[in-house]
Amino acid sequence: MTAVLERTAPPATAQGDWWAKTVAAARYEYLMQVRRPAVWVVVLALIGLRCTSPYPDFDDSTTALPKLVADWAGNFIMLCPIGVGAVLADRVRREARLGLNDLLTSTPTGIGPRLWGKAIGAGAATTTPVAVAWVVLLGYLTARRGAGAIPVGLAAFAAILLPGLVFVVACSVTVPYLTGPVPYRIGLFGYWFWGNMLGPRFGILTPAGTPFEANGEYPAGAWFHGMLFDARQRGIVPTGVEAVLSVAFLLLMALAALVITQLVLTRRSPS
Amino acid sequence: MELRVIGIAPPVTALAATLGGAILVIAMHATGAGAEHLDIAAGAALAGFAPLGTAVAASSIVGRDSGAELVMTSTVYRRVLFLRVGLVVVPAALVTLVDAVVFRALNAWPVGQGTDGYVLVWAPPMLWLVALAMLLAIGLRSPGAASGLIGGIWVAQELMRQDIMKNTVLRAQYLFMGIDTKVPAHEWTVNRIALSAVGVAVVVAVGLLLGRPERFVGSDAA
Repeated sequence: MTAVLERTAPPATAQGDWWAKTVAAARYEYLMQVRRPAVWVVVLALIGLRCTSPYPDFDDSTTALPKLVADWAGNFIMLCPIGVGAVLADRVRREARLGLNDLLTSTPTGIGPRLWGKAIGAGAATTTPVAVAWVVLLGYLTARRGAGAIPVGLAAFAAILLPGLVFVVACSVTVPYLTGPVPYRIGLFGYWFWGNMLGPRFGILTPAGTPFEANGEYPAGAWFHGMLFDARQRGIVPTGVEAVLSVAFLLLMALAALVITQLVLTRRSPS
Repeated sequence: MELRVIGIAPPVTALAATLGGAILVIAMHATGAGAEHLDIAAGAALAGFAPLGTAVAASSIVGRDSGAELVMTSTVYRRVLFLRVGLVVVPAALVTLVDAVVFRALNAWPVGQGTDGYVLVWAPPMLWLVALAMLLAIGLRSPGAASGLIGGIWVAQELMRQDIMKNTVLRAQYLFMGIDTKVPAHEWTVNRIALSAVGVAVVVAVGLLLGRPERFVGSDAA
């Protein structure tokens, strides 16, 4: 707490002041979240669980490198957003649970920097295990296939994994304000299954296989020639434009969730 | 009193998952969905949504006492926690039973299931998931982490179905057995017994862990 207050002063401009407060809050949230063993246990366990039986079958030595990396990314993102969202949902009402809301309201750090700091800091901390696991995988692939795996791997992380994770992070630090963490988690699990895995063949309306899914299938298919699942069921081979649309949709939804939540919280605030 | 401690969110979450599945099936029936899709949806609602919602809700109960030391000094904490879990699980189980009766009446019923399916389609998965959720919440001292793992395991069971079905041990622990395909009667029986046995064993393990309730002090409540 003291560290947050110290780092917010002195303000140079209104915008610089807001940014300094956000960075300070993000740093504090990051350090709190990244030290929770539960974050590491859950996220790494879910990545490990999926990678015990990766799909589709691919050969590390012969499959084209972009496809190989994209298919690994597809395996990473199938389960880990569930863990990321579940452990992040705790953070939303933490201050209220600890009775710190009044104290925080009395500090110069406003609602906006605290919300954005939580999203950036706690979100980055919760995705740190994903990044670490990805770096380990890239190390393995580099040993087998050479240094070419590194740029492809970084691009795949940014294009396939990150948009979905940013979307889940933004939802997980905003929606629980409305629902509470327990119903949110159920909603997240249901959404992830319905919206990303329940293909059109089940006869239920679903975004799975469209650019509006969050599992990175479109960028993986369009830019890395990765395996298609639900999009293939719809008879779609994603184009670059559709991949851009998919990434942009997720990022814009994340942005909208945070902006709307900030507006609502600011309106509700007594100060 | 205990309902006041756990709050309204956990029981409502468990019931919402159960009722949400029922609404989906009824809506599909009303809109003339195909028989095959309807049967799968009914099975998913009973063996999937209801157990998952109940398990996540049950895991959230752990670590709710801000003054856990006081509760431990005045009562047997194991009894208190099981009572609280019961307040979540029992209503959800009763509503799921009603769902099953309604689904059967609508002819939305997993292929090959008889009258015993009223209970056996959903009760063993619910016991298995609730017990595991409690164990994880206590072991990790974090309801959020426990629910994340439970959600991941639940999704993984469907996602990795082909690999699970190839392995005899894992097949006996498959939650969605018989939901989308008809399975031999003996395989179904083994699966239901194995799920229930593991569920009971985990409940016993939870009871043993709760013999040392000081583990909850300082837990990461949600």
